[in-house]
Formats: sequence, C-alpha cells, structure tokens
Amino acid sequence: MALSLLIISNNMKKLVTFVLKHRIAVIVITIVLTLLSVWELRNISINSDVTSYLPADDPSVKLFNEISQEYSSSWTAVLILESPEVFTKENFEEISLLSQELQRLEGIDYVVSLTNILDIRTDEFGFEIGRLVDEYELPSTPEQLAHLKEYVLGQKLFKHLVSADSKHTLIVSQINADYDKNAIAREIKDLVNNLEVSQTVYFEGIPFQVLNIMDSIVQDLLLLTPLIIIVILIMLYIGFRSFKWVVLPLVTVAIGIIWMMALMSFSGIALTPISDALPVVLFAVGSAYGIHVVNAIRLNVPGKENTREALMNAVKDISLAVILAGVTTFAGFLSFVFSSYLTIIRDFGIFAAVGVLIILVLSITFIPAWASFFKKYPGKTKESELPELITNPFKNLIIKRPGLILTLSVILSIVAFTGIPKIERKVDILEYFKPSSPLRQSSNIMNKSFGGSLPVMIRISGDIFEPSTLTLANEATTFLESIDGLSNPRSLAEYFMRLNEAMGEGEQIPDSREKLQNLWFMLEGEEMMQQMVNYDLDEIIVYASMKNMDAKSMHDIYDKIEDYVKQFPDKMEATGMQAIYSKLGDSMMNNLLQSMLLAFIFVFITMIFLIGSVKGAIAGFSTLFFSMLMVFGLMGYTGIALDIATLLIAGVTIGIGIDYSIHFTTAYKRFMRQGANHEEAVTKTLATSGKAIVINVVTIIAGFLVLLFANLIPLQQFGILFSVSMLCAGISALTLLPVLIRVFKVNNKLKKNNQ
Amino acid sequence: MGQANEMKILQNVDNILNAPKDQILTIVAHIVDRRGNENTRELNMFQKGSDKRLAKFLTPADQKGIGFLSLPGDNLTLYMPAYGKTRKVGGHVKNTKFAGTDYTYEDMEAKRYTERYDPKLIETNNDNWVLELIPKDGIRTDYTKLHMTIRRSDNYPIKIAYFDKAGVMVKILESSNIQKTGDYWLARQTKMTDLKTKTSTKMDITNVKFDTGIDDDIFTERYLMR
Repeated sequence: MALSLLIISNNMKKLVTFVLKHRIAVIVITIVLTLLSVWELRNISINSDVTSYLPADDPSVKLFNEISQEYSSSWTAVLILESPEVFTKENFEEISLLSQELQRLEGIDYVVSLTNILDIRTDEFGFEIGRLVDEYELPSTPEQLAHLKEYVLGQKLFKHLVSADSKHTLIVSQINADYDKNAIAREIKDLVNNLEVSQTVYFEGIPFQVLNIMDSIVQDLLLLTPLIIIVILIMLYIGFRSFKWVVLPLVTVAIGIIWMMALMSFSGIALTPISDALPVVLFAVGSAYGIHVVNAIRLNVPGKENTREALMNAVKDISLAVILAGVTTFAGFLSFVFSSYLTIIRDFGIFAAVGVLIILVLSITFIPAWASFFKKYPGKTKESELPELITNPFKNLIIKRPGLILTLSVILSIVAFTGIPKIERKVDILEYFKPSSPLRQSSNIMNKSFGGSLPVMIRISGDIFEPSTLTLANEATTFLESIDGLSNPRSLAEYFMRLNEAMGEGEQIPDSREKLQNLWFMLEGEEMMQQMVNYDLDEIIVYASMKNMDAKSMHDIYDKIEDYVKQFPDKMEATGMQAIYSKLGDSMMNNLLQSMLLAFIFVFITMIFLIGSVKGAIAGFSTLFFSMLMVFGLMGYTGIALDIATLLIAGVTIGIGIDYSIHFTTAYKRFMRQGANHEEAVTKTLATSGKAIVINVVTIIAGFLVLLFANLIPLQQFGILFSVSMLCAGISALTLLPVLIRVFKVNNKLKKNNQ
Repeated sequence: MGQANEMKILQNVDNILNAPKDQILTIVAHIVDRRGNENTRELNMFQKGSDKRLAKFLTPADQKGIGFLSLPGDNLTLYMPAYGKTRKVGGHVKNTKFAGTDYTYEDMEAKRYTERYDPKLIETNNDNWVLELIPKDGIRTDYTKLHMTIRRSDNYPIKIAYFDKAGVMVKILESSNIQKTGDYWLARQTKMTDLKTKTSTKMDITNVKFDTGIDDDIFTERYLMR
C-alpha cells in the first residue's frame, strides 16, 4: 500500500512541476474558460415547477402526470376572494368583472366562478340549464342575494366555490397547456392588482406556487451568494491576515462555481429551490482546498531562497491530502445520485460533485500558478493566534488525558443514539416555506374553508354511457366523502343525476345507455366537461380535496384509498398528493440509508488506501460515525425533521467530515516518517494541519450558517445540522482520532511500513 | 353616405335572410375541436317565418331523434327520445352553445338585424360594403359590436365578425357557396370559428326546400316527439 502512495506522491511532484512550468498557460486557459462560462451563464434557467421534481417513472407520479396532461389540471389557477360576506351586490359585480377580464386573457381557456358556473334547475314544467347567475342582471337586492345564498350553500355542485361561512369564494381559471404557466400566472396577478378589487385576493394553485417558488429561488441567489462571499472573506482574513492569501482561495472558488453553473446551463439543468444553495455550499466546502494549499504555501515558502522549489514542495506535499479530501467529498455528493426520489436532489448531487472536482483541480493548478508570480510571500509573522488558542488545549488533552476523550465520546454517542427513534419526517412541500409566505397563507384558507387544496383523484375506466361506470364513480365519491381529511368529492356522475332529475326521473343515475347519450347532448359543449371526462369518453375522474396534514395521517389516507381501489383492479386507479407525498416519505428513509451506505463504502476504501491499514481507516471513520450520531440525536431531540434537504446531511457529512481525518492523518504520517514519536507527531500536526483544520471548520460553519437566511425551511435546518456535524467532525478529528490512532496502535504499522 | 343608406343596406340583408315564407333544410354540422378532431351531426330543420323553428337530429346514432322546438317568446322545448319526454328549457340558455357547436342559441335565432342593431358604414369597395353594427339600447347580447361584410351584387352577408365587451374579435361567421334556389338566396355553407377556444363548426346545407307551406302543426310538442 505504501508503495502505491509513493507512486502517487511522485506523480504529484510531476504534476506540480508541470503546472509551474506552464504556469502562464494555466492562467490563460483558466481565464478563457471563465469568460466562456460567464457567457454561457446567460442561458441559465429556473425550474420552479414542483411537479417536475418527481420521478417520472413512479406509478403514482405517472398517473398524476397523465391525468394532469389529459385534463389540464396542473394548469388551474385559483383566486381566493375574502370579504365579510360574499353575497353582496358589490362583490358579485367584482366577481363578474374579474371572471370576464380573466376570460379575455390570452392563454386562459375558461373561468369558473359564482357568476358563470353551470347550473341545472328543475321545476315541474321543465328545467333550466344555464348559468347560476345572469351576468346582465346580477343579483342586487337583499332578497335576491339572500335567496341566491340559500340556494348556493345548499347545493353540492357549488360547494367547491364558496365556503360554508360565505366569507370566501373562488374564481378558478384554466390555463391552456400550451402556454407558459409562469407568464400567465404573472398576468393574472397584474390584472388583479390593476383592477383594485375591494375583496382581499389570495393566489392559489400550482401556477402561482410555481411563481412564488421562482421568486424565492431568485431571492435566495441574490441574498445568499453575496452573503457567503462576505463571510468567507472575513473568515479567510481572520485566519490568514493577508490580502493575497484571502483573494487566492476566494477567487479560485468563485471561478469554479462559475464553471459549474455554466455546465448546468449547458446541460439544460435549471436552478431549483435546492440548487440555488449550490453557490453557498460550494463556497463553504470548496474554499477548504484553497485554504489548505495556501496554508502550505505560507508555512513553507516565506524566507526560503529558492521560492520556486519551496513552492513546488509545499504544493506537492499538500496535494495528496487535498486530492483525497476532494475525492471523498465528490463521492459524498455523488451518493445522492443513485438514491434519490426527487430529481432536484439528484441534480444537486451531480453538480455539487462536479463543482467540488472543478474547484479541487483549480486549487492545485491555478493557485500555485498564480502564487508563483508573487514577489512577496506574506509569512507567519502576520498570522492570527486564534487557531492555536483552540488547538493547544486539544494537544494537552490528547497527550495527557486520552481516556477522558474516549469516555466523553462514548457517553455523548449513547445519549445521541437514544434520540434517533424520535426523528420525524416532513414531506409536505408547502411546509417547507415560512408561515408568512403567501403560499402558506392561501393554503391555510383552503384548508380551513374549502377542505384543502391538495388533489386526490380516482380514475374510473369505462364507457361513460354505461350506467355501471357512473355508478362506480358515485360509489367512489361516497367512499372518498367518508374519509376524514378529504372533502368535496365530485365527478361527472352528479351532472347526469341532476339532468336525470330534470327529465323527471329523480336524482339518480339514468338506467339506460340511450338516456345517458341523450343527456350528454346537453353537457357536451360545456368547457367544464373537459375536467371531468376524457376525449374518448371512456374515462371519468373523481376528484376530492385534501387538507395539508402530517406525514403519518396522509399515509393512512393513502393506504385506505389504495385498499379500496384494489377491489376494482381494471376499473379504478388512484393518485394524488396523498400517494406522492407518502412515497416521498417512504423513500426518504431509504435515500438516507442508501446514500449513507454508499458514502461510507467509498470513503472507507479511500481511507484504507491512504492509511494502509483497516484499523487506521476505522479510526478515521470514528470521527464520522460520532458526528452522524450527534446530528441524528440532535434531530430527534430538537424536532428538526427529516425532509428533502436534511436527508442530504449524511452523504455530505461523510464526504466532507472525512477531510479533517484525512488531513490530520497525512500530516501525522509525514511527521512519523520523518522520525517523530507519537507526542511529537501530534504536536507538530496540530501546529500545521491542525491550524488549517480549525480555520476550515470555522469557515465552513460560518458559511453554512448563511443558509439560515434561505427561503426554504429545510435549507435553514440543513445549515444548522451541517454546522453541528462539521463541529463534531472537526473536534473529533483533533481529539478522538489521535487517541484512537494510538489505541489501535496504527502508528506501529506505519513504522513497519517505512522500514 | 347618410344613415338612411346604411339602414337600407341592412334592411336589404334582413329581407334576403328572412325572405322565404318557410324552409325545410337538411344540415350537416362538422365540429372541429381544439385538437383538430372532427365530429359530425346531421339534422333536419323546419322554419316558418322568422320565429318558429323545429330541429331534429338524424345522426350520430346516439343522438338520433333529439329535437328542439323554438317558439316566439323565448319558448324553447327539448325532446329526449330515450326518456320519451319533452322539457321546457329556460332562457339563460341563450348564450350557451347549441348542441356542442360553436353557434350559441342566440346565433341560431332567426332575427332581423334592423330591429337589434344600428348600422354604420365603415368600408366600401367594388365588391363589398362593411357595416359596423352596434346593439340598440335594451338589447341583451354578448357582443358589443358586429362587423358585417355584405356583397354588393346581391346584398348577401358573407362575413360577420363578433366583438366582445373589450372590443376584441372573438368569433367569425363566414358564409359561402351562396346559391339561388327558386326566388331565394341561401348560403349553402356557413362556418363559425371561435377564436378564443380555437374551435370551429361548419354547417353544410345539403338539402333545401322553400315555401312548401309548412303546417303550423309541425311546430308542436306532439310533432317534436315523433
């Protein structure tokens, strides 16, 4: 094993020599690629459509998408109008005006509201099929309004348009699927604002969600990116106290991020609420490589006569550690790719990994090339004492009280372990946004007054002119009504029943095919039918609305519906947010374990390769294990839930946390190779790599705490969790690791290798 | 060009369209939806004067026998053969679509334009006049104005553009294949295009008989149910 390390070490020397020899080319190429990337960046797009984040091959998602496509339902934009009382003359005038203005917008297929909804009224002479309200003669007198209110609130057909307390009413607009949801959603908002309605208007439905999320992505980018740059800048300055050493790593990371985002844009991958944190993550993580290289340079070059040779040696020595650290981080991010339910996580993993790789390469090529042009190398005289203040107590502990470290670690681990069963899962995407977000406000109203806004659908297959098909739809409707948390179940069957009543045969499904065909004649041209039945007239959708609720309750509903639908295998299929969220929840635990396993394996192999012994690798891993336990324990005790962002924590912690162990171990090895004993090696390591590790940890924590300002709550929590895990990884790399190395007698093996 | 002239032009249009004392038509309606799919309906239509109409569907098979009777005073009766019953259908129906076509009940009504609209001549060329028709006070309609293109040679309206409340053109009615049968001009083909829904309906008149002396008995519920 040591031989292979020797080979790599020699290659490092060749690499660094090559880079310094062609330093001008390196710099020029870097600049050119950066300019090209900046040019490509103008194509970068944003994807805020949550439905596209789901894996297209999941059966629930597939059915959901099929239905959305056929019935254009994810293009439904809803306005919620709020007032003390819906049924007033002024409000009806406003509703009528809004409905007509919306209808006129290009891209809107049709609008449904109280002033134009289809109504079927029957009396003993005949029936009237028309609009609920005559838009030329809106109800204006108190009697008319009271009469209308009584009628509307008593009818099932209108329940989904007005709340029982008649304080809220909906205007539902169907956007044409060929149009850009975003653009139309914005037009609707502008229209409403220009009309200055007296009722309070909320915007609900996927087109507006998409808009809100897009705004939050842009906000995140514009706020978080400058913030992270400032934080890293400050950290670097405190650590290195010199302009040159601050700028070098900072610019390098910035260049790497620009290249990475250009690659994203080039591959057609858009920014999402998760990937808008990539600049933050890469700045926080990637600056480590630059820090270590810069640290090596400033420790070894100032004061030497042959600066070129000193530079080469410094970089060569640190390169191996930096490369290994980068590769493990790369692996950590990549572990999401194979194990994620959501495409946005997978894409995040890929491009974080790519970004890390790019920054790594730049750190060992661009930084030395640039540094080789320096006339002066700011040295140790200006550096901060702070890191030493931190590492000195550690040194004493390791050497004098190793037992204490071990005991403390074990106790903390046990305490953390007991917190793990308490970890909850959070799948509702809406809850990922702050309570003050307009998304949550409107969904609160929907939950309170309209039984929720999450769609539940059962697709009934069968000729719509067969009474049995409609009877089945009716049964499904009754079943959905019986479930707590669901409301407003509706389907085509109701319309047929109303018409059948109008024909004098009672409110029930017509008993013959011919009757159904005759009735269809009256319904056929109505645009609303597009939502209820497909073009070929052999499919009906039964809809219901579901409230936002906790993951477990939603899973119960999912299970109930699946059990029901199983009874009619060829005729019924169910989907909706109950299915999608439940699957998301199920997959999260799997994803977490899978990515943890993948990361562990890859990193473990790397460690064995580096240390040359399994015991050594285990020792290195102990720090990670400890960090993971602490994080999970924290999640359990504080109620930070497992969600689409926090599930990243395992892979990222492993990939990055191992870096500290790698740096510590490579420096320790180097000193042991040079003849030091354990105590001397520890002291020297702490003084060199230890300092860099401290700067690294502090910087990365400060960087990730920037995520506290993110729009998405999971990102905020991810920032906290990750900071905690890095703190634990760093501290244990500087305390637990050296103790374990001693305990496992790893250094004996190292000495043997060298003899 | 004075008002009188425009009024005269419109009067001539009314006369042409309402000239026949009665008519029996067989119509094939081709309905094309947004996706370009086409449905066909065939119906027989009886009309006496300008305010009595009976329509009976012949095809497709599942709609055979369905019928409408329209009598003066917003009186509309529907017959559903499967139920064996007639039902009165209420007045709000007017601006809903007739039988899934792009024609509303209002569009289908025989009417006298001079009674409902004030005309203004907005364009003249060698072949046509174009009149802008503004609804008279008190007339209830979806459209704020119409642009009617009239053939100078025979006073037949060949195109009508319908404008909504915002002044945006939303529908176009085009008449073609205008033939003289006996004493009367009739467009054998009309096409209504709905610009908003991107659908269209073409009506082909495949058979026409004028002034056969249709009995008033035809325009009864009893006949509707036959």
